Amino acid sequence: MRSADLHIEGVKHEAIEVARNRLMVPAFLFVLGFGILIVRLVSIGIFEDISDQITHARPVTTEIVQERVDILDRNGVVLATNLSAPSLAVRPRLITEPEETADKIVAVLPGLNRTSVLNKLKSSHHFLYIKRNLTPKQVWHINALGYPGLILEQAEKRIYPQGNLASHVLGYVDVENRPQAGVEKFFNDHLSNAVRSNEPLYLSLDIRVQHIVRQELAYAMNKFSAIGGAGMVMDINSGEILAMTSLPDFDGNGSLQPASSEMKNRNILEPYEMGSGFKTFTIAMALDSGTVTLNDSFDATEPLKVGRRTINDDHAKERILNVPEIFTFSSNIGSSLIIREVGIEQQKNYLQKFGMFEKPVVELTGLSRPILPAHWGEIQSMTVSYGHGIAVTPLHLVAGVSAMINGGRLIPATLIRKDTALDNDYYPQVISPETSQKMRHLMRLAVEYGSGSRAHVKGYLVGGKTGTAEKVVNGKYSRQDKITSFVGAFPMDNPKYVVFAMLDEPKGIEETFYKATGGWVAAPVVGEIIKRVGPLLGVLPKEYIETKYHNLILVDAGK
Amino acid sequence: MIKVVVSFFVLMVVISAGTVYSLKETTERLEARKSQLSAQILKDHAAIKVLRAEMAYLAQPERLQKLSARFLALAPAESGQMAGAINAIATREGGGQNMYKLVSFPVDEFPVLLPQSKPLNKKIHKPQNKRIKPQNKKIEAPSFYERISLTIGDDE
Repeated sequence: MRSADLHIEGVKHEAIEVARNRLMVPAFLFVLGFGILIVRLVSIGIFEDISDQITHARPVTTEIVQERVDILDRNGVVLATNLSAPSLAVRPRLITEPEETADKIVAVLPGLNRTSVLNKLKSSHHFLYIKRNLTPKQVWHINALGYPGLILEQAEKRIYPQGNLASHVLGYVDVENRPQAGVEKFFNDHLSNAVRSNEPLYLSLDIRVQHIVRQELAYAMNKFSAIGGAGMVMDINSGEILAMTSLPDFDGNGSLQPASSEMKNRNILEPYEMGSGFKTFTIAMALDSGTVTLNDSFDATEPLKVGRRTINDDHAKERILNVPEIFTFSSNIGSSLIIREVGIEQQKNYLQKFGMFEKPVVELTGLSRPILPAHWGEIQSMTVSYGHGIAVTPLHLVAGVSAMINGGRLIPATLIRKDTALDNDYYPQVISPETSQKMRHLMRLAVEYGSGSRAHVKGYLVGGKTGTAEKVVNGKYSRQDKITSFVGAFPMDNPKYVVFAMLDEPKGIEETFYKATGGWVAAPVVGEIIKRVGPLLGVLPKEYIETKYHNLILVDAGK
Repeated sequence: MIKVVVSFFVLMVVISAGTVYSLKETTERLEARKSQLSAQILKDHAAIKVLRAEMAYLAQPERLQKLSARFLALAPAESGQMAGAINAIATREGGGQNMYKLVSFPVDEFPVLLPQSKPLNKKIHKPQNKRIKPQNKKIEAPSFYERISLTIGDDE
């Protein structure tokens, strides 16, 4: 066959040559085309990243508004989360039978007014919202109606499943999911970071402890008709706050009035004169500086006259008191005499070290500065020694008292769960461990024999100090309106937790012989809290341990 | 010869075209499956979130306390029930020293809850306070979603 081809000549031969030449053109095009494909294939295969994004993003509609990271308590219970809550909107031009449609919408969403819905359906607008934040069930019903003119627009809503429980710590967000207060605001960088949406924020709060504190406080508030209350539980060795509650409080899910008294976190927002709780610091600085020893005595027989002022004792013993007795019976005269020994400069230095001159340290916004005496003379020094004339927030007091009994380290309070153990040397030593040891015993004495005896709990060694301060009303101290507080700690042989309770303007009742002092009002709250919280936190009960220095106290003398 | 070569190439072209086509089909099917799955995953994530929120809502300590007080013959744990070590557990009456054979000491701290006597007439300290009840109570208990949507109102 080939030989036959070879011998074709003449016209035929030429035609074949032409055809072959012409064939070269498509052949070239083919090669070129495939060449391009091959080059492209290789370049895609080698140089370009495999991207999932296009297919992955498809199911996610572009309308997911803003992710906020969840907030959990230390055990992983949800405190704040974002849920999808679509909004119902309408395109009135696509609605053919407004009356019928309105009837059906009102049947699904009973909260709506039929007339206003009908007006929206009939209006000449392009697009109108009917209702925000539908529940999944309502969404299902609306979809089941099958009207093309009804539109469900994706939206997210911040939900606080615990309602009022930790509202002051959490804060809240506004309609556009912008944080307005609390942890929500302080950690907004984390919470609003979409990249970290899988890293929930673990708070140090324990929701069970929080509930107990809130319930006991609310109970006492009701009982004594107080206008407000504050309570805290803090781990003294790590600074973690297990519970922080302020009453009255609010529900972050509801509609909020930002200026109302419910929004006020009394633990950090308002400085109060703490009263005798401050004697803890006075005695600690006196013992730590070595100016006073436990065996020293001071004459509290008569009220102390300094300048124009007279300092009285609420629980006057009218005799010579030694240092443990001054603390236990909460003698204003005694602590004034002690601070006279210590001196003004040293008092200021110590208070500064205890953090009383700065804003409290915690991961919240709206922290309040303490109110210090403008002029720090002898009389001011004396009133400050028993907690008058100086106003600090409850958090100041709690953090300070923690330092007094945890071995003398001032550990800043935190609302974030600490997973690693603390480095002991990291925090400043404000008093010596020996003084701290003495303070533990003194605080125990105050509960065993002194003003805080109603904080006694069976099985736990509770220590603490009461505080009662008269409120300043119109620039004068009021006899009726008081701030009563109790700062307690347990177990005193090896303190773990500080428990604080404060009530604003409690009224005395028959049961308390119409007294509304810290010992009658706030101490029982702390006692009840410890009784319930102790087993929950796994604090082992102890047999009775005889307190040191109790031999120094004459319990019934002078009564 | 050339026919063999040509037919071989034609065959190859047909086969490779078929392979490419089926590959494309498979890929598309997989893509669709994948996007379906990732949509499902997102849906499930959302559902899990809802359920966790609902669980937190239903497990509010206050609510659990009420339910427990009403339906359970249990009282809150007390400090007297806690045993720090196995030695703290009292021996049974009549049992001598060898009643328990201590196999090993529990690891460091070991808080055990011991039983307390069954509360027949429960007199548990349970502060009830009208003030801290959740607002907007309906007659029939509102579900989680109804509750959260109720408080929002109809703000336009």
